[in-house]
Amino acid sequence: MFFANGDRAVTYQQNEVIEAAVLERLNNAFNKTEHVYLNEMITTEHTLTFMYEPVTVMEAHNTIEPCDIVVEEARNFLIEKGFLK
Amino acid sequence: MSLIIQDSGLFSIVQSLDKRPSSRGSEYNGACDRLAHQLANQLVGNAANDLTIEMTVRPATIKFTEPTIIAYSGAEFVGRCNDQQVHPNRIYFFDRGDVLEFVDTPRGNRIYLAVAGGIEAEGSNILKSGDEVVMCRDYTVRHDELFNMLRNKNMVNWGVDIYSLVEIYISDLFHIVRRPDVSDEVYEMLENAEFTVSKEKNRVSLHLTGKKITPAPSNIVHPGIKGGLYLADGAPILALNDFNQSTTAEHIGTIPSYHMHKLSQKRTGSRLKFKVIDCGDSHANLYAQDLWVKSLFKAIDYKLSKELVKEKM
Repeated sequence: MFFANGDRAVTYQQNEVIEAAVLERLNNAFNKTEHVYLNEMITTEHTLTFMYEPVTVMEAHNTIEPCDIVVEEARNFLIEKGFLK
Repeated sequence: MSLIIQDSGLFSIVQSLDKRPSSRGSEYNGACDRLAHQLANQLVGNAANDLTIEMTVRPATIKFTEPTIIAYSGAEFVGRCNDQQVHPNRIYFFDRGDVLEFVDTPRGNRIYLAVAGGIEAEGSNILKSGDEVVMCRDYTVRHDELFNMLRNKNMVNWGVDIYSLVEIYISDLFHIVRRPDVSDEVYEMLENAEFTVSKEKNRVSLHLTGKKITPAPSNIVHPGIKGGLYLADGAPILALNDFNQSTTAEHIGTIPSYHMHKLSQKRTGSRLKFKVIDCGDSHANLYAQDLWVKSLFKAIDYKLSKELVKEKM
């Protein structure tokens, strides 16, 4: 599941452990990929947390609800890298 | 020439506004009170993200070795130099040999001292007694004008009044952005209880005592997120900027960034209450605060420009 982790992060969380090799692959891919709003990815064995600057998203999209836009970008990244379907 | 830290106080550190890549022992994980960091820089005409000195509980004693313009923001510590009182959110000029000391305050925890033209740490950013802080002297035209104005009177006779910041700092109520997998019962318990700060691990975490809260165990390893509210054996722990490791303590929500300014000013013995809100509400509040901060900074710029024009006439 994805959820808003405060006002500056969205977190993907699953009950199953994410293997260390998968986390490393995702970390490498995150650092090599250009992102629109995602600044940083923090990983644990159950979570992938994406940091963003909410006011930047708000001003770019003329909205005060930036969370869905960031979740979509994070989800697309994870789909692109074959982690989510 | 530089600033000499005669007494480092309890915990003084050269700090950046945002997290930046840094080595172990010299970590720049960002200012705990981002508003105070930016406000101090704004007052002395620096860029908002220039480094400041973050001082906690008992601020450092600082000796100036050349003409220097400073301002500090955050807690209500009153400084003293050459028998003159020095107040937060005002602009001061110090000369070679001047020593700035601070008197304890019953309110607040941290101050951020900005130096016109910027500073950088010589070695580790954690300051010890006897350390020197390098002055960058990246002076702009605004800085030159400030120096010219302050050489005669050593302080600007206006500042940001503490009452204009009351809305940001003076409240014990903290918003928590809810998680979808935490039950309403847990949030009810959280909202109905009052907590006291029992200790702070410097820049890492605030430990609270009060009613124990016991959510259903999840066995999830959570990330350490600034503002995160974690439960260790039912006792709440709040993550500050240097809390950057994962944890098996249950995470039940995160304090939005607009309440982190006042959280970082809470000290041992401070009381806290929580109100659980949705992410959408936190973003609306964040945007409102962002607009307010921008207007405050514009007002400082305007006031300073007016003062400088008056000086030239």
